[in-house]
Amino acid sequence: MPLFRTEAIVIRSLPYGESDRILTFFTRDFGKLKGVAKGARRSKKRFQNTLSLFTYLRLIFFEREGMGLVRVEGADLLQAFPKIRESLKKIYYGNYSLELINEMAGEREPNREAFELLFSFLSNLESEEPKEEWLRMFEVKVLSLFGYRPHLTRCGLCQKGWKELEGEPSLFFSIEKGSLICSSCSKNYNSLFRLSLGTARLLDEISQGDFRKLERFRFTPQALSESREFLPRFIEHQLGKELKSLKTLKSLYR
Amino acid sequence: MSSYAKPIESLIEALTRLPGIGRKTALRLAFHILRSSLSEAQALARAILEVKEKIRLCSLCFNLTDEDPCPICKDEQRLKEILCIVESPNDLMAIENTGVYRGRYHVLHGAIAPLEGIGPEHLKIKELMERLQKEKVKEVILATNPTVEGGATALYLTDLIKPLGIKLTRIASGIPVGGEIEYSDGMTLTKALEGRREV
Repeated sequence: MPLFRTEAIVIRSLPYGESDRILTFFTRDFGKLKGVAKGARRSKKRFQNTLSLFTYLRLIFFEREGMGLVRVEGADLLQAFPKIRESLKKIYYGNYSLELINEMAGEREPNREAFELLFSFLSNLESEEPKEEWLRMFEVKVLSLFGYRPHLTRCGLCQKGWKELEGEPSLFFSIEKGSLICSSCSKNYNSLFRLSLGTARLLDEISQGDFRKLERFRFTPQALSESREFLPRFIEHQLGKELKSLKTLKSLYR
Repeated sequence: MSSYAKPIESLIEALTRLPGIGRKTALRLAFHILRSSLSEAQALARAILEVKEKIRLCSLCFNLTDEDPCPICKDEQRLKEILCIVESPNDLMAIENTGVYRGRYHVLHGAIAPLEGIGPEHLKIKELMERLQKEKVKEVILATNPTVEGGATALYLTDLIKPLGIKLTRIASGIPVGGEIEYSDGMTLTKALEGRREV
């Protein structure tokens, strides 16, 4: 049976039976993979601490015919992100990023850019005090990398662009339409979120920008509060389900 | 497909619902029960019913008990000023079996796990804070697991308890007794070095 090797980040880890663990990895070469690590809860030597959440590792696995789950044969620790575990805020931020990737990614659909995005998000969490705008940037990037980029350059109905929208008293984002909506078209939609032109411009630029250079983007308090309102809701709408980690995350804003 | 007589089938089916029991194991267990005496089978059935009818949570520490308060909370010999916080009744038993700890406990019944939708409000944290207000506790030992979830719970409790001026300690983590440094992972070794103590 051939062995495969790839770099992976543990995005979910659940105990299974007496001694096993069911894991979800986000891998560089195979996208999302679910697997079982036999004896992972008992044998401290075989997998050591490599299979806990956030861990970045070199995964060795083989396929078992007819089984959805791969069998984890070995795991070499590359980075454990220990500092993330020492701060509640970092743990909440990190959990949210893992859940977003887990929900957005399809199994065995490689997405290297998304892998890099998650890795650099966790690396930033590890090395710096987290800022809320990181979450908003992560959300926009995840949406665009998995094909759900919000349309922010023109009104989704009348097609007026930024230039023509400059004089508009208020602009909105429609969750259903996934697009910017001008005030005159807004009466056609429910579930609208207020969105200023400045925020729309910023988020659109981020969605196309390089995640490793995101420190150059600056959020005004208005941009932050507008995107905090609509981005998680838009993601939940696209997924058709609630994000579990969002509730704990919200407790940080209070 | 032929099958066993209906009562046997329903016993097998019931046993299969238990964690870690597949059909083969269930079959073996069912036949063991079938071969055992009537009184043995009745004792088993009674034990299952009794556990459902009599076991509840202690109103003080939330351990599983058949009397309220539980024997540990009632025991006057136990130190009232030390409280050990654990995730589950199994963790409590593991500490209890060491025979070293003489204080009392508080069982949270879980740990903060955002990915499973478990937040602080799902644990017995409100009850813990009420206890700390009422009882004269001098030290709280955070004995949640050294996992991401257990760690998050310990951090959350630290934020809540620290301002009360109660001494707060976390169980040590590091190289297990009988373990080998050569085979320990970096994170465990780091913890072991950080938590070293003078001898």
